[in-house]
Amino acid sequence: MKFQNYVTRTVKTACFFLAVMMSCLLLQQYVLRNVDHNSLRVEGFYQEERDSLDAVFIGASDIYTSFMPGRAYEKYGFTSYLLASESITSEGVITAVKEVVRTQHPSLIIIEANAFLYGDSDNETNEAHVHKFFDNLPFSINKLNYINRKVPVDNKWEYMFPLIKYHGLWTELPDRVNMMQSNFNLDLRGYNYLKGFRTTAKVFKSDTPSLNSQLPYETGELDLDPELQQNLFDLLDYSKENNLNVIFVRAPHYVTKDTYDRVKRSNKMESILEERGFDYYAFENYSELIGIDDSRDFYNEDHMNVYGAIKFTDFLAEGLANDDDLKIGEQSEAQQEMWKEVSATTNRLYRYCDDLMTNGEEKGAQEDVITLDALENYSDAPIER
Amino acid sequence: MLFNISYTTLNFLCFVFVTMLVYFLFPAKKYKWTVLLAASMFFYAVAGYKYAFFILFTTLSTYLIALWISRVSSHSKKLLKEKKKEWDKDQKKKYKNTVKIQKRLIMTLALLINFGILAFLKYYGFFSGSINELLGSFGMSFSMPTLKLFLPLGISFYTFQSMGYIVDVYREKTEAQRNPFKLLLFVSFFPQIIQGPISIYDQLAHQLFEPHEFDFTRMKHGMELILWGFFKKLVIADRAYILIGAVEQDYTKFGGTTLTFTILLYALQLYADFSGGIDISRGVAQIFGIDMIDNFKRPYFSRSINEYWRRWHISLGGWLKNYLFYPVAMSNVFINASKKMKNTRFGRTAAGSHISKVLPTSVASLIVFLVVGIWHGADWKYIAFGVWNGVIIMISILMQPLFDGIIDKLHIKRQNPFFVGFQIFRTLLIVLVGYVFDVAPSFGEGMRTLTLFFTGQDFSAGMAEISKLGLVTADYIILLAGAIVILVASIIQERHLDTDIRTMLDQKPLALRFVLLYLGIMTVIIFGIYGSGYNAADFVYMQF
Repeated sequence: MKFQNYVTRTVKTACFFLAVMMSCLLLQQYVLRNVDHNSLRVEGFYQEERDSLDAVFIGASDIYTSFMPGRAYEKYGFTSYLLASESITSEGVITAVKEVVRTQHPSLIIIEANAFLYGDSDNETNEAHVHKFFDNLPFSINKLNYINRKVPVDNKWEYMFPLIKYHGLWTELPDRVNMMQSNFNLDLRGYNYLKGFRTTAKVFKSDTPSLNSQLPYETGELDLDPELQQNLFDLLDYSKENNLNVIFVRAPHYVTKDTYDRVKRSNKMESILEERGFDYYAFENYSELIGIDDSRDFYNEDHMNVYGAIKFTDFLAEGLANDDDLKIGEQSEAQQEMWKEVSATTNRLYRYCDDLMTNGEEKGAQEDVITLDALENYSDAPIER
Repeated sequence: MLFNISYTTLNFLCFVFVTMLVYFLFPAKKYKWTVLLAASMFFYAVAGYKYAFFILFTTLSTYLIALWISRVSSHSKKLLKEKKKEWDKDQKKKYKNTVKIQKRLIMTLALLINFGILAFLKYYGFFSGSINELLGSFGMSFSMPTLKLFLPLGISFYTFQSMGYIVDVYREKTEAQRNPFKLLLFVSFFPQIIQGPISIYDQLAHQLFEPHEFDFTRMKHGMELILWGFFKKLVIADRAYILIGAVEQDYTKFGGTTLTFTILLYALQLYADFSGGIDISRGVAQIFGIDMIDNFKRPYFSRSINEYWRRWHISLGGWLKNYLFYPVAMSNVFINASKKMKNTRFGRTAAGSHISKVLPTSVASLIVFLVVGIWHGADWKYIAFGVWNGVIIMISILMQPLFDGIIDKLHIKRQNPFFVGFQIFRTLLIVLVGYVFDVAPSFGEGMRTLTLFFTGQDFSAGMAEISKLGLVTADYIILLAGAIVILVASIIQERHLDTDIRTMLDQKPLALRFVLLYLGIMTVIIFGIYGSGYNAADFVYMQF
């Protein structure tokens, strides 16, 4: 065969397979994808300009429903992002820290302790929780490392190419249009309006009494699950090796008799961290100081609503702003504009949720087209407490 | 299984890709076949390393026995040549008979070893269960022990293939292979080990050992065939199996309408599953320059059950014809019985003359289909499946003159489209009755299902049942569209027997080919049943 024919045929074949691969990638990114608020939050993190964040928060829903980066920027001027995912595993937390090191160099990494406080290590293999975080990470050595070490051999491909798992979602396309559009809009816009914050507009009412008032006096400890403790040690070793400024926090919860063991594990974690030279702030113990009202500031036992979140954000952000470890970097004009928009959106979201709760309506509020459309009618003026 | 490497996984595609790279880049042309052997061993080890002993044992015994037979043959020929002048005719004849008996004994040993292993592993449970049940019914306390036996991957396929090779050596149709590793490759060649086709040594072996160079067109055609197989298996068969599997799980609960629908769907599923798997096998082999026989030729277009079995699982049919049907039909017992009948008063009548002529063929057919039934599984329902097909074929052979007479009297032209349609429909009905015994959990349930076809039809209750069996409207649309695509492709193939669709496609404009292949790939990717979101089914014929 002539060389020219050979080249032509090779080019044609390559073009064909390129078209197939591109189609698959587009399908995987925008159509046959299990998009939810976790996806938009994690994806938004990777849209952040390199080295533009002063602080990054890592953890589960406990942190992304508690801290409002827009509010922290508006009041204290530092930029932050919530690289968090629903019920994230301890392995997920470690990978997230590594991803932060790879993509940003924040002066401070704040880790919410939830992933290490479970009574057993079942969450580490909970397929839904693992997928919710790792499916949304782009290809990186850290993601591959996790897949290689932890994912069962027959499931490895679907972590690398989520289309294998989610291609059957075509039957649910009509129900997924809003999230698909939200995903597309986020990519077009290039940044997440809420920097990962999500909430539910609801005031939690319970017959089970809160034990929050007695937490400051609780000194009992319960051992951490051995696997989770080992992962914590690995995380601490990694942080030391890379000279990272890492602090651990525990967001306020509506603690009851049923969830009290976590408080004792939290105390144990504090001892471990202290011993290894890391700071741990169990804000569960400071609910009163923060001003958390158990009858108004939660939307369920594990999560605060915007009333609680704004108090916690002010308290934590003020503390961080006064911490020498937090270095506030310089920003370009475009960055400043974006952050003003983020703060404005956060203020609108607060008023929107306030409005819903006042009217007794329950609704999730997050970075998606439905919520963002609803915010248009609300004022973006700073919230006065 | 170390990890899932079945034909429809990405692991398998990667494995094929790596094997292909190594094969075509392998520098020592003479030893290219060792790449295929290494790949086959790797595949078998991954898919079922616990069973490797059995395939190695079968290969070794086949190798040694074939060499033994070959040595006896060559030694006898040499001796006959040496004694050509010394021995008279009778001495030569006597010696030839002795050699024949010796070779037969060796072959019997091979049969006992290879089919013995197969029979023990596959059928011990069935026979011990049946015997225990029988003894129990007579109030006898003796019972055969229950053993937990496993079935090595592809055992039926590689046992039949090995035995075919030994018989060919015995018949001196082929030379015995001197290299045990080459024989091991013939027995274990990875594209065919899971579900065939059952290849004949002379047809496959030399292709395996030949050093093939990379050929773009061959690779393209191979990949197109793999894509077609993936379409049939993942888009159609595995989707249909969602409903069939749900019915099989709770079979006795369903009424006539649901079971009728299930059997109809099973006809589609079984064909798409089995022929899809074979397409993948053949496509993979084709990439390496190896042409394996086609196991299917549009079986549902058959005008008689005889024709159906010539179009369905062709390699098994061919094997049984060569190594069972002919030896039985041409055996002295059958020929003598035929002759004896011919000489009776009945034998001298027109009907008797015909019956005595076709008796060996018809009885041999019944025996063959009994074996087909047993081959499919160790259960009375499979035996019923075999007997049903055998009896129909037997009747059709014996009654042929009567049927011909009726057709002639009614002045029906045999190529009349309506008559052809009637014949196809009639054959399909007979096939569907056989399928009932495949799907039903037992012989008794199979019989109950047949009764329900006539007495248990309740359309609205059936629709209500079917709607809860795991498929949604979109799935039925895909199944219907998929069935239409297969039908159209089959009609095209049926009308252009001298060429295949892939060659026809080569002659179309580039843009059209690109679009068709692109749509094919995207259809499999989007609509295929695979990944942990779905529970993909094993190949149906893998269990046989």
